[in-house]
Amino acid sequence: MALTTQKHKFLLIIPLLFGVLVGGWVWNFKAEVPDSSSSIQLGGDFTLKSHQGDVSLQDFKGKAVLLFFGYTSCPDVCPTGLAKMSAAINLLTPEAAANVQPIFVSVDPERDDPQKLAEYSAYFHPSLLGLTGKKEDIDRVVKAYGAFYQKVELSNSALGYSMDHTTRIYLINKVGKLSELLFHDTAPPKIAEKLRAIL
Amino acid sequence: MKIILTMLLALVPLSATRADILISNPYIRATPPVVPNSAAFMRLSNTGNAPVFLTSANTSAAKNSEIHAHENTDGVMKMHLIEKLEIPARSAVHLEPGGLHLMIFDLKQPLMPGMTIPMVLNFSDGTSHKLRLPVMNISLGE
Ligand SMILES: [Cu+2]
Repeated sequence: MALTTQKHKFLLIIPLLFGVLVGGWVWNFKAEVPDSSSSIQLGGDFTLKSHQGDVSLQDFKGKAVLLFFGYTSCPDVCPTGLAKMSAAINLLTPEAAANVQPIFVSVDPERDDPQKLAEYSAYFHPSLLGLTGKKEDIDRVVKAYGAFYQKVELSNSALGYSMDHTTRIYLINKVGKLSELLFHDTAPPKIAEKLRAIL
Repeated sequence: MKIILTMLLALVPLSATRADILISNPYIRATPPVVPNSAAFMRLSNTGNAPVFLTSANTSAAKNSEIHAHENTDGVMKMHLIEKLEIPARSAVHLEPGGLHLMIFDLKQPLMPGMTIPMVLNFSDGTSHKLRLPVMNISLGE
């Protein structure tokens, strides 16, 4: 009898624990800009595909990285984010700019293959690297960075579907750690200032 | 000078139409080579005493034009199509980056700054407005 009660207590704890875990995750996910303590958990190395093959974040050790998630059919948010990242790099000295790697990860591999991404990215900045991959690989990176995207069917639209997505610009330091979260409409001088601080 | 001229040209429909709708600062975003989509922005003001709806847009430069809205929910940018856009009486609606836009699909050619694109906007009061949109690079908003 005593044992059964114990068992019941234990069984009760499981959903409780689960609730706390999920609650914590949702809370973390919802946070607009996690403070520096919670952003420490976000980020990390990843490997995705460019038009020239596999690319990992750790390939850019020693460089500052600007990371942005989006898709090429995106009407203005992604072009704006990428244009601002590019303008920020152009505000740096050539030496500093050479130590910055901007990366655009497409969450829409159905429409964006690495070749298309390469051409799209070059339009914004010669050093902008377009990456994508299999859905599960993209999902892993998206989750690690606390980002989010969702395919949404758009009935009656020529677009077919859109990708709802978070619009942060991730600033990653020279040792591959997430340093700060910026937004797609952060002014280029501000991004440049943040880059200089970690170079 | 060229820019000023283009802007003036873009404003011409303002005075040429009799309806209560005024269209100002229209422009369309320049496009990267591999994506035949763009977005057009402008300010629509209604000087009349009754609401007017923008019901459709079309341009000979592309196959489809749609009215879209963006909505930022908890940092997630969502886009959806709207059938008609209300411009309430005596007020204005801004189509601007990150918000409402006319999404343009299947452009016949990439859009580059210096070009202008013709467009017709149709309203619920039966009026149609012809305008020319200068192609602009993305504003860096500094
Ligand atoms: Cu759109």
